[in-house]
Formats: sequence, structure tokens, C-alpha cells
Amino acid sequence: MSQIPELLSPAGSLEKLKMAVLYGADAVYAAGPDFGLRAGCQNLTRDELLEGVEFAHRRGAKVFVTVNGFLHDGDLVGLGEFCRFLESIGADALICSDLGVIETIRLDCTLPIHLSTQASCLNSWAAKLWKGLGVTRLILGREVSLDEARTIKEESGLPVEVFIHGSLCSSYSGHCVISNYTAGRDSNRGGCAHSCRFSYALEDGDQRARSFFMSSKDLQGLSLLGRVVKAGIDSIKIEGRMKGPLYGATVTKVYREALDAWGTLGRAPRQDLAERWEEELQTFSHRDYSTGSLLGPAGPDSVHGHREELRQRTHDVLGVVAEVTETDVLVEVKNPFSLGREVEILPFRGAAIPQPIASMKSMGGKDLMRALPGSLVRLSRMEGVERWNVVRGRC
Amino acid sequence: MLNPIVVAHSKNQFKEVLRDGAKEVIVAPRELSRFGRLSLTQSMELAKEIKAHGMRPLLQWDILMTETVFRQKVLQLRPLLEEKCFSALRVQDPGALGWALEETDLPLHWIAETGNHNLKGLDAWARLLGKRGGRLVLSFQLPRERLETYAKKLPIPLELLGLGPILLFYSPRSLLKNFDSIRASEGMVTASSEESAHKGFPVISNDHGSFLFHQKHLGLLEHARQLQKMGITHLRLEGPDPSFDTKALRWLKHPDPKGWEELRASYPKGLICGFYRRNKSDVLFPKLKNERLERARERALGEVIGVEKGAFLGIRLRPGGHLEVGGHYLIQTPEGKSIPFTLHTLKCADLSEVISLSEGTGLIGPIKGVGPGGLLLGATV
Ligand code: SF4
Repeated sequence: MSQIPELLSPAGSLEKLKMAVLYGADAVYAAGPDFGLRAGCQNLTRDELLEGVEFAHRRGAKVFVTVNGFLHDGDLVGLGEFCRFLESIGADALICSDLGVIETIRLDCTLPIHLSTQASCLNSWAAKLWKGLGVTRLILGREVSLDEARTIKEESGLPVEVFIHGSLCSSYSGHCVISNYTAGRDSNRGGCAHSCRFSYALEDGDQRARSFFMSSKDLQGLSLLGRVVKAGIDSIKIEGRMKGPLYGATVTKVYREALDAWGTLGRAPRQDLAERWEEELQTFSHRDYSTGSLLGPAGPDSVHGHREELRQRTHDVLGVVAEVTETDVLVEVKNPFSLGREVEILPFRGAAIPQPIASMKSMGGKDLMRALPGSLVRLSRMEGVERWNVVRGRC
Repeated sequence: MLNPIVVAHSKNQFKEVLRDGAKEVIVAPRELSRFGRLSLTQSMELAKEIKAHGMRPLLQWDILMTETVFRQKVLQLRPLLEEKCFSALRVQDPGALGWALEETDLPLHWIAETGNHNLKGLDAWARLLGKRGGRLVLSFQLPRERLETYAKKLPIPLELLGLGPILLFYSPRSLLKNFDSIRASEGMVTASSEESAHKGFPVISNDHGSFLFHQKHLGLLEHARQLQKMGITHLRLEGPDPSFDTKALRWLKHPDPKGWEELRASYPKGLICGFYRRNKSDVLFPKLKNERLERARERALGEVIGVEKGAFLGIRLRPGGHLEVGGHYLIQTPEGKSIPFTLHTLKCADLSEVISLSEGTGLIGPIKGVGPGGLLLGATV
């Protein structure tokens, strides 16, 4: 029986880190206050990283820290000290793209180095070169198929990680600098302005077409897990540190359940289960799904071709469970909902728990008709509900 | 000595630049190079002709390759290398670099044009190229002062794009395939966005994928003397047609401001010097982050996650956070206002009163002007 890969989830904040671990991630990736690739993202402070590592380790999960910008000389200042800090708190690995960053890290700490997908490692010769430069795991370029990933792993002797779900760059990662020249934001230092998602007028002499020709569909590899296992992939990664709690919780939960089913059965899970998981992956906003390049080069049908706002979803996130007391569930409200609405609590394991809201109180205990974002509301305690569960409702 | 390099896509093009001082000519086979137009046989013949004129033909193998493509390309490349007609091999895929280091003895030009914006990394690449007589092709996003430092410190010849298109985007996907009405005559269309300042970007689609360029070209010729002084050894010219490379070559031999202005005026594209004076690709970063709030977050004891007007604030305590009745605190709002207060009552999530709390969610009395996202700080910080 082949080994079940590690499930690696995004952790754009301490809260998301905890949710990812609780919903079943074997490992999470997060960025510290500097050096990561998401300039606009609320990254973790040092205290949060410390708590995040402790929280994850107590539950048997790992924390990989992204240092994956292509840094300029000035950006390297303080990197060595930051890596020593990460080593001291027990972070499990660093994710890097830039050779200067790798060199700096190797001088200052002994943490394992995972080569970021930003470095576009696409073939076994590149893999061997990076291995010689100190890399201990490869996060392969998103253009690599599962069969190719297996070859790269065999030829290089390094563990390989592939993206399994989430948004895709349509360029080779690290090879798009549109934002650098048009928006004053270096896309290789976290400043991508998503120019590939804009509508463009294409002109060829007097021929004209309007299109979102550069916008990629999202990756969804759930149905390929059997091939992932067979190819011996070591880790599957979910994209989306910037995305909200419904996305992170749902995707992690679905892939966890699917991997566990493969682990237990050693074969494809029941059709009804697979269908339920596919439905779950429709609950949050996303572009049209495709399997990207996992089966072979992404073709013209991998272009999303619509405006970003036309994303589909079946559910809204209504809130996150902030506390569970003997009598109440305290929900941090993200979107409004009213008395009488049926909400669903997404537990860490098992099917969603539907619950019509028969009564609702403010955090101080006053009866409420409507819950508004930015408030905490009390719902009656429900069996199976835990802190950090996501509360959602059908659209 | 600043050595100019040109690209030749045909024997005729080569003849045009023959007499004007280029010592090195890039030969770009269609199969191996992003914008190559020559068959493998034509590439070989051209290389031989370049050599016969005492010049150095450089083989451009700059595509990025997945495993399958890589294996095919190596098969196509081998006969070319066996002919021994090239003076150096230029690569941009680290796999191609690794392969060439083991399988060939040619000098290698490592195209480090994407990323590679620090000395440590460049120095490591230079060490890897070792004694092969290699060269680093530097990023054209580097500003003058960085180029100067690198030229002083890197023990290897350095090349820079001096004139030519600015590549912004490289995808292996055929992004124009979905548009029947757009023929992409000669493989090129322009793309303009109505939602942004992205206007007239040339897009090329070919067997290697899709490429999008800046609407203007990079023109650093007027800085050639400065580049030479600082120690850049090679300047690459990729004008829109060979006549501009010829003009540029002549100008480099006899540089004068008027000649440069004439060249600029006749050039079919706008010319910019890009980030040569200053790399501005991080000017908007401060706006992407609320720096003040970021700093406060490092010291915050907790965060306001819920407000009940006139009654309570719900505070989620952060790592190491601690609240105590009688303590002095302040709340920093996302807009930057600091609101001091003394804590008089503190409740747990179940509304029981406590005198201190170190984890979870605490409820404190209302504070005017505070909304969700506010950060709770100790009053002494
Ligand atoms: S603009 Fe698009 S292709 Fe370019 S870096 Fe951003 S997401 Fe990737």
C-alpha cells in the first residue's frame, strides 16, 4: 500500500492556523512579519508564530514558515536572526525561492529548506541542482504533472510536494512581473496586483476581442487523489493564505476525509462520499475548477474567462465559533443572519450540523432578531460544536 | 570594455550587423529558445558562418521545461553541441544549467534576469558556474547602484539588456487559442485593459507558450559609458529589427547625445530606462499594510472581535495576553486612534465575573469609538 501524503494547509493568521490544524491538516504554512510573499496579508507576529508552533505540535502537526520572496539586498537584513528565532521556537522548515535567501539561511540555522513553487522547479535536473544547493524538499512548479512529479522524486531522491487545490498563476511562478512595472508592487515580493484577472481588449490589426484571456481556472485535484497516492507524492498543498475561514476549513476538511478514506480503504472511496466532497468544494467562492497540469499540460480550457466577481458558491460564511460555554455557543459574526434561518456548523469531523436559529442573544444576553457582522452572538449550545468551528448558511 | 551582443534570426540579419562591432551573436533555435525562429539545421549553419567571421555564436536555450519537454529538448540539443560550432550555451532553467554543467564543457551564460536581486544569490550562482568561463545575465530591474556593487564584487563577466523588449509574463499555456477571430498575425497581438493602465501590451503566442511584454522597450544606451565604467562587461541589443541594432552598435562606437536622440526618435517604440535610476517595485508596499497597526499587533494583548453598543466589547486574548480588573489599557483603532481606559469589570464568555483572564474571550465594558479590529494594548507601551 502506497503512503498517504501529508496534507498541507494555508495559515494566513494564527486563527486560520488553528482552524487548519483542527480541521485536519498534517502541516500548515505561514509567514512571519517579514520576508513572506503576501505583502497585503496579515502575517503572524513572532508571539503568534510561537503559539502557532506550540498549538500545531501539541496536535501532531508541523509548521513551515514561508520566506519565499525574491529578496533584494536590503530585504535580507535581519533574515538570519529571524531564522534563528524560528529554529528556537521549533518551526519545522522554511519555504524559500531565492538562492540568496537559501545561502543566508544555511549560514544561520539548520532548519530544513523546502524550495517554494515560486522557484519553478520543473524537472529532475533542476531538482538535483537545488538539492546540491541545500534544498531538502521540492514544492514543484504547478506546470508539473503527477507522472513527472514521480520521476523528479525518483531521480532526485528528494520528497516532493504538489499543489492540489486553489488559485493558480497562469504564468510560470516567479516569471510574472506585470505588477512591478504597472503598479509599483513587486509580484515576487508579495505585491501581485492580479493583472492577469483583468479584462483585456485583444487587437490584431482591425480584429478585436474582449476577454479575460490570462485568468486561470482554479485547481481542484480531489478526484486525482488515487493518482497522487500512486505517484508517491509526499505532500499535497492547498493554496490560499489570503482566503477566508470557510475556504480554509472546508478544503482542509474535505481533503482530510478523502485522504483518510484512501488510507483506510486503499482504493477510491464510495461514490456518494466523493459526491458529497465535490459538493462541499462548491460551498465557497471560487473560479471554475480544472485539474490544471496534474494530468498533463493545461490546455486552453484551463482559462477561467470570466470576471472575478462571477465566482460561484452555495454557502456564505456566517461566523466562527469563538467560545463554547455550558449553555451557549458564542459566534463571531462575519455575515448577517436572522432568527429563523437555518445555519450549519461545520464540525472538525463528520457531516455539517444543521441548526435552525430558534433563539439568539447578544453577547450580554439580550434577545436578538438579527446578528450583524462585528458582533458576538449567543446561540443555544449544540452537540458536537467546538471552538473554531465555522458557521455557514446556504445562499 | 563593454562588448555588445546581438541576436540574429537569419543569415541576412547577421550580415547586417557583421561590420558594426558585435563580437558575439546569439543564435536562437525555434525548438530551444522562447522567441527563436531558426530550425536546428539553420542554427548550426548560422553558427558556423558566425564563427567563420571570427565571431562567437552563442546558443540560446532559454525555455523553461517540465520533465517531459526537458527530455525531448536534450535529444534535439545533443547533435547541435556535437558539431562544436557554438562558443557558449545560454540557459535560464536551473535544470538546463545542471544538465549543461555535467554534460557539456561549454562556457555557460546563466540568465538570472528573473528574481536574483541580491549579491548573495548571484555570488552563489557565479561560484556554481566556476571555472567554466561563464557569465551572469543580470536582471534589468536592478538599479544603477546595485549594478555597480555587483560589478565590483562578482568574479565573473556580467551582461545586461541594453536595448529591447521588457518581458513581463511567461506562461506555458496557449492563452490566445480560444480566440478564433484573433489570428495573431506573426504570432503577435496587443492587449489593453479597460480596468487599469495596462495599454497596448504586445502578446506573443508560440509553441513554448504565451509571452506578454511592456508596451515600451528598455533603452540604456545613453548609460553605456557609465555601465562600462562600473564594470558591466556585455550589453545585449535586441532592437525591433536589425537596423536598430546596427544603429545602436554604431552609436556605441561613437557615442554622442545627438546620435542617441536621433536613434530614440526613429525607434518605433517608446524607450524607458526602467528601474535603472531606482527600483520602484516596492513603492506601494507601505499602502498594502497598515504599518501602524502591524507594529501595534506585535505588542497587542488582544483584539476586539465583537461589539455590543453600550454594553460590551468582546476581546479575544492573543498569545501572552492578560487582562486584570484595575489595570490600565488602551485600544488602538484601525484608524490609529488610541483610547485609554481602566478596566473596571471583566467577564468570561459565560458571563461570570472574574478579576483576571489569560486566554480565550473576555467581555469588558463598552468604550466609545471602538469597533471590531481594535487592538488592546497595555497602557505603558
Ligand atoms: S498577475 Fe497573475 S500571473 Fe502574474 S503573478 Fe499575479 S496571479 Fe500570477
